[in-house]
Amino acid sequence: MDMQNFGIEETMGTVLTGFAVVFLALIILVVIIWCIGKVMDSMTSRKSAASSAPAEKPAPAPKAPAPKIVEVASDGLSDEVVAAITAAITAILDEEGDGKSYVVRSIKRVRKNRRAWGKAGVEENTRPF
Amino acid sequence: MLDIFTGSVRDLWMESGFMNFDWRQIAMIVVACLLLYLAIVRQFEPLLLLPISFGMLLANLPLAGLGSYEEGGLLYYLYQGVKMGIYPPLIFLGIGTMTDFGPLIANPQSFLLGAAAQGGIFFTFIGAILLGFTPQESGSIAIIGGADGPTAIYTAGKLLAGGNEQMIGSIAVAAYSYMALVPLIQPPIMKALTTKKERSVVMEQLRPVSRTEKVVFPIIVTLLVSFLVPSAASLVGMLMLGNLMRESGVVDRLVKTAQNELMNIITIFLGVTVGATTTYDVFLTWGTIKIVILGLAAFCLGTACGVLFGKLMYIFTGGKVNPLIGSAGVSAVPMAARVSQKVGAETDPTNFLLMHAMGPNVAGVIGSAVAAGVLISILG
Repeated sequence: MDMQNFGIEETMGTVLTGFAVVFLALIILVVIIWCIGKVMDSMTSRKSAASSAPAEKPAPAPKAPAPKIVEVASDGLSDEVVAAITAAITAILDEEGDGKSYVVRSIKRVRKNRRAWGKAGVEENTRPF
Repeated sequence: MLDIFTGSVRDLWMESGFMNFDWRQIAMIVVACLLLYLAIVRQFEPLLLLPISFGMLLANLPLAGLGSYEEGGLLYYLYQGVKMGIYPPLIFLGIGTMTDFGPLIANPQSFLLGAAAQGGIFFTFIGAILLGFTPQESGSIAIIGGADGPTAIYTAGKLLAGGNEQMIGSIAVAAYSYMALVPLIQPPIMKALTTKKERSVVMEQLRPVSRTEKVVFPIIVTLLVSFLVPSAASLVGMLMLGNLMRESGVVDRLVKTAQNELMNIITIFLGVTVGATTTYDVFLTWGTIKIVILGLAAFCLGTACGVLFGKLMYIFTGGKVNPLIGSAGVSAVPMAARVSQKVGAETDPTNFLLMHAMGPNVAGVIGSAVAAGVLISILG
């Protein structure tokens, strides 16, 4: 290219080439990485299908958390969840002091798709703000 | 005896800095002290800003001869690593060992955002040409929009070799200052270009990425990019070497060295010598002011291009992509991704965009290296 008379045409040419090459390179990468992802997916799903054939029995339902509190069925809840709920209730009872009684009517999950540890990790990473 | 004493004292005084300074040197020393304040008290990118600003101070000491261009001085020799393009790829090696490309592999579309945000580079190139810079100078200024310090220095070093080399200092200072200012520059642009509904999009959780994919990734990127744009090979190659060392998990000792000792040594050399390029006679000019303005434009345009492309992806995916992650396509790892996270959280505090934004963010590093390669091969 003529560097002495670098006019508008040369400028636009450079810009267009730049855009085209950058996009081309990254689009090819998108395609390749996507394909590899698909191959990996199908491989792992085949593997897991083979290994999960002898299905394990679900863990026996844990016992109700604290005998003091109204008996509730804890079916489908893992020990950790039961422990966490018990701890939360105990904390509230401790704060409020004795002499008051509560009935837990419902327990709502704050957020579905993120675990507490993941959340803690994200918070750790974004702390400077 | 008294005569000799007064004579030598007078000679010493006449040869001291006090009798031989230019007011512009004092101005530069004041600027250097201001930057030191920002680095030490305000902690703006202190790892870089501190050596850069002290280099600036050293280079402007009267008669000390410590500028990066003054042959024979200590910093002159260290500066050869910048001039010959040795330091930036070594920094990239260290960055590679610290970067997790997982979010990008899990969501390869992020590559497109990393490409779109390079728009800032090319639009600024037009602006620089219009302001009367030569094509090589324009390319070096425009690369500030890549928001990637080592890439900017590498490109400027290659393009300006034998020409107006003194510009490297101003370009590096502009690039690093704007990188430190990303949390201030980006949010207004991001908010202006998106609606509240777009900002509150919650993205699907990323799939887990297998180790094989992570190991194969650096090899593929190196091969593809280097075949396509050979002049980007030294940057991308070293970045991916570092990443392969990390992901392979078999060379822990090398990874530790690359991301700690080696990276720190190079950062010191690079920072001080780049700072020392800003001697008063080359820095206090209109050219520098133009570079600072164009650099800011490059940054803003890059952010805008990323967000706008994010909006396109929002439309095409039927609202599954939050356009805020587009701004992270300008490299500036991980600052730009954190900004996406922060702006997203302002709209919906339970929305965590950080990992989604890391995808375009690391793609931006690859994208700006490719853009640099293109500019070097066309204009070099």
